[in-house]
Amino acid sequence: MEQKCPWCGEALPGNAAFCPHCARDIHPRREAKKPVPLLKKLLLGLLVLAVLAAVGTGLWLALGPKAYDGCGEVLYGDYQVLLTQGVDRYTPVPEMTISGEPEGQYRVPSRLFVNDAHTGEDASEAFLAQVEAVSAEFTGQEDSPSPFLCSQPAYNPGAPECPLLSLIDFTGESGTAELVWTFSMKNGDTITLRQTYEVTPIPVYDYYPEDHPMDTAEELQALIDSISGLAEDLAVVNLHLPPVTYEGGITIRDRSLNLYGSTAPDGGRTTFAGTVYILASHAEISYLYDIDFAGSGGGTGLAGSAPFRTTNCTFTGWDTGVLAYGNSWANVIGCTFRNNSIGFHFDSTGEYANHSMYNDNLFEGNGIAVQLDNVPTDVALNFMGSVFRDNGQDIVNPCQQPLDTSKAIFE
Amino acid sequence: MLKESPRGSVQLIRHKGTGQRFILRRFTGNPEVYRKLLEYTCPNLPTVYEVACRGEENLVIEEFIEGDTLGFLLKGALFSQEETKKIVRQVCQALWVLHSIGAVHRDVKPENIILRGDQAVLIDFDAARFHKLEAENDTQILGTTGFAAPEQYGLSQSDLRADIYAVGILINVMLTGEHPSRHLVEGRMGRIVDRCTHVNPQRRYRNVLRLMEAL
Repeated sequence: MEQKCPWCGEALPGNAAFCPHCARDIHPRREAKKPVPLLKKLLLGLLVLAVLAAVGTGLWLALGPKAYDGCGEVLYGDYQVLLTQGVDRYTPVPEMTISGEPEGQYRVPSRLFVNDAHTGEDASEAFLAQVEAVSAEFTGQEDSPSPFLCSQPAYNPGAPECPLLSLIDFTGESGTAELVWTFSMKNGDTITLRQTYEVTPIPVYDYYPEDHPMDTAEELQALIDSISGLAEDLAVVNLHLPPVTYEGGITIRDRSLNLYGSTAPDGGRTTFAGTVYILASHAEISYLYDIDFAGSGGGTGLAGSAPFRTTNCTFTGWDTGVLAYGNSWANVIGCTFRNNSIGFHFDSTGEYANHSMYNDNLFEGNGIAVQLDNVPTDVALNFMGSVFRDNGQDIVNPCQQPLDTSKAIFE
Repeated sequence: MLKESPRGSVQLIRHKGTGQRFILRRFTGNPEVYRKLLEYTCPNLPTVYEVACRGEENLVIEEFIEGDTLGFLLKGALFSQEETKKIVRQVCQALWVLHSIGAVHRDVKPENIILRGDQAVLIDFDAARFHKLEAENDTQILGTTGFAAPEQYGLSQSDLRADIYAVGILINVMLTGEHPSRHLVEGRMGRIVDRCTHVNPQRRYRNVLRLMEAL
């Protein structure tokens, strides 16, 4: 079979590789490969492997699920994700040291904040849109006699500034444990935020009438004033009051105090005929138990600009039985409000709520049983078991505070 | 006529039409390696343009490499170590092509290496053959005395390591002008020559790549 030279067109034998007419090569050729010494090949291979490994690792790191772990704070992409205890949304709180009475029961919030890492703006909505699931648990307290408990992260209307919050319950004997928030992201990433809680014992000082003069308002005030300078701020001071009637009032300032009333064999209880003030220069709660506040038609029975809580007390014959003002948060539980112009008056511009219960009270014969002009936060006040009877108005709520009166009794 | 022997001849020819010069080889034997080289180009091997056979006789037209052979140059002077390494590396590259198609040159020697400028070209594949694993011994004694490996004299089948043996001799001759059995070059190059020329092919460099690495 013949072929033609592609260069000169002359006829050639079919298997010719060379044209004798024009002296041109007509055979297809390929360039022989250059040898690469083994060492060089090995190095090149290793280089390729290293590059591939680096690329693979890079891709995996860039695209694969990642785990983020931080104490108090994690930077996740453009987000600063942090846990705090207070409302400062920029400062993570990796460790919480809380003082507690041995028998005391406490609840504090663990707040989640999410900020734009560049601008500092609230980015919680965008971040939470990427979250598949979030949970919280305590670890490292297997041997604790009183382990910490935490609620699962959720929005809490009592702390509207943060998107999620876990309530931490503990006692003075809870010791130390680690709270772990775990975020499972939709892209497979995992974020672990840790917060260590440590409870340190609070010293408790008890003052009894047998040891300290407190039969009159003046003596009691003098004792209170002296205690303010003696006991450390975090100490718990309990004043066990005799079953006497204090004709005047007292003022608790500078630090919180707990007042425990008592009952005489004839049934007489510790009674204040003058106003008791609890003034705000501290944020600790003053607790008042088993005390009667007996007014004579005017004034205020108990007025607090600092947090306080009254239990099993009575307020009778006042213009205002209990007034919470300033930055105060007040709770009345198991108390009796009778024959006051206003039984319980909330008019505080504070920012915190510490308890939502107003249960088992008796509001009877008041002009207004409960007046809510200003109440910190939107937490619903729960009047479960409280009885409203023969009041001019039961609840006046111009600030439209959420209320739960579903289990209250209106007679 | 450039060369004539009982096995054939080598002529320099000129194409009448173009004036281009070619090498025309006539030889008896196996033209397989030439045929295979029709498919390749390599700067360290002459381009084979045509292979024709009639019976035992073969005609090959190949590129004319203009330059002096190492054999000619070695008559006047020796090569430095750097020059030697550079030239031998290029010879190794030519052998790499042959070995990669399964061929063994079997006649590596200064007279079969032409320096074209700074390029070394390995020529003359008359003695070349394909390495067949089933062969126990070479069927003919081919190659040049002194440069041929022991196995080429029938001690065992020659494979690519026969070429490595010859390259070892070549290195020594380029550096000392003498066969290593008489005067082995000193130092590292001597050790390379020693390994190339080990009587046991198993102890030589396994392939030209290893030899190039050593160089």
